[in-house]
Amino acid sequence: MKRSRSGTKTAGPKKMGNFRRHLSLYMMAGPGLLFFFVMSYIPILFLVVAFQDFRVGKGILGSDFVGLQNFIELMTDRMFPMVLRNTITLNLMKIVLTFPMPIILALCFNEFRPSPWKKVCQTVVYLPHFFSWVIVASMLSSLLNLNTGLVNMAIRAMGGTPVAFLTDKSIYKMLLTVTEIWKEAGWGSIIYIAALTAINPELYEAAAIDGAGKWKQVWHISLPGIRSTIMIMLILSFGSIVSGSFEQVFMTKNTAVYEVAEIIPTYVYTKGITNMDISYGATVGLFQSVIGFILVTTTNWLSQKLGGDGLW
Amino acid sequence: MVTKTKKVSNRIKTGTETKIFRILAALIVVFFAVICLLPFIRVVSEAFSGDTYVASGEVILLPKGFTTKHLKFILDTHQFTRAMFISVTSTIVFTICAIVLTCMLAYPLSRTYLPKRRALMFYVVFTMLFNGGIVPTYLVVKQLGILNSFWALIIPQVISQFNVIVLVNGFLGIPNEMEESALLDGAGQFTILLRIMVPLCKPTLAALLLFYAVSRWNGWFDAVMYINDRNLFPLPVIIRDIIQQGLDTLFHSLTSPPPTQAVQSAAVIFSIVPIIVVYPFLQKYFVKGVTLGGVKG
Repeated sequence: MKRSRSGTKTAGPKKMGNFRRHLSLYMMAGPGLLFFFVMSYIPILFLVVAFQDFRVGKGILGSDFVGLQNFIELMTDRMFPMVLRNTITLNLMKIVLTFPMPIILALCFNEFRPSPWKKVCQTVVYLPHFFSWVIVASMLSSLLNLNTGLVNMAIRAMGGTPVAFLTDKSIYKMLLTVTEIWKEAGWGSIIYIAALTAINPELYEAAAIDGAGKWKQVWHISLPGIRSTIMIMLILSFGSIVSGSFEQVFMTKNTAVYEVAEIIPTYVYTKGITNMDISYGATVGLFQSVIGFILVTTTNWLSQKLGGDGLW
Repeated sequence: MVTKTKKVSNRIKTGTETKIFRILAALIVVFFAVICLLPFIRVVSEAFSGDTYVASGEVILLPKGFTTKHLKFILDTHQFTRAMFISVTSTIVFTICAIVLTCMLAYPLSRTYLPKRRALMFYVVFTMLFNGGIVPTYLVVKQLGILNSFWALIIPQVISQFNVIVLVNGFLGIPNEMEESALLDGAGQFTILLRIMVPLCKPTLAALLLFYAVSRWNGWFDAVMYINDRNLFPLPVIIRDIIQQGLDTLFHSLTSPPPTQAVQSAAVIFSIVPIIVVYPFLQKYFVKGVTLGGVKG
């Protein structure tokens, strides 16, 4: 008893100092925490409209609860299977084809010692990341124009028949994948380049003395060296299987490719915002969020289970 | 003797293999860089070329019939200059607010002695993993009463979780002694943040500055979702209009034909030039910024 009292006495002033110090830190974080509360947590609460028949005039508190009716509607929605299939195939294509590109690019960059040329190349390949999909879509329509587009001019010059790339259902998803590679592969390589520079150069020297060629060095040193980075990026990309780039699709979709173009985010927008069917839009959005959350946490858990790295 | 020749042949083998590998790597890098650059060169040439040349597909990589009339035409369009003004002001206001708020949030989150730090960190990171989606967010923006106002371009996206994590990692990299000695001198937390932490984290902050500014400058989705008033449309919305609708109401008053490919390219130029001008100066910083974001915090 006595001892503890003397203990608190000595700790007293310091504790007060600590308390004030912590208080000012909490106050400093206040606006940011408030921001996430308002813009992230309240929307989560507002997901309750997915269980309502939301009417703008009645508001969230006044609208009638309809239980799972919106979800039943989702399950019987004739469009939804198509939308879901588009979303998943598009994202799987992106994971399979787009994901390795930044790694390949980084391995290539890694072969060169720092030089002005390397710098210029890096500057150029990072650049497309900084342009909006609005711009990219306009470049695309100019480049792929049936008559004046550069690509079709090249095809014609080689004796082929021009292709209407932007209105062809069968290549629309491939087109999105290729544009994604064009826009983001360079940017994505930054993180792998950084990871590669962290590998001890002695490992390569030792391997070269043992007679390991470049391919073997890449396979046995470079790739294992950046394994954890690759895993983290992979987990993140799995989380987006049911989402996808809204702007990319919205900017390029047209009536000719509609049935292969519509993905969950654009569908949510069309239903919830354009048609003002708030409750149904929120329902589809909730479906997307829940599946995305499950996918990230599961892949993360699996990765850790298999002895790899996780996000947290 | 046998082993010696084997070793020599090994070295020759690895020598040529290395050479092939290097050449292949160089080819891939150069090919990709050229592919990245081509569309931009073409857009620029189209913007400076005569309409007839562009329409007939004669402009390949260099301008033909050099003219600046398309750029002038765009600049004379009231709707466009208005959008330019909105984009510039919103980007400036947004970036300032975003940087200040991100610093104020990231600094406390980087203080390892702060009670409940991990809980707060989770509070921020969780919003990356699960969110309400666009419809409930739209309802919140509506409830806030900022729908169809300038603030709709600022508030809803003002802090990015990714950037907070980047900056937390940046602050964590600063030795504790810096803060300790300032505390002994009687400095408050705000003074420490402003006088010590911010100057020491300049490279990271420069990267965040670029990320935030670009996200606002390019942002199209939130603008069409939250804004209906044509006078508040930022640049991307107008450019999208020009491209999408061809003959748009914005050109009706000018008694002119629909925007040609050359005019569209001229509009695109105004959107990409500011980025191209600023970007090379910040490149060395954002590489660091991205890398820090990949480290677990």
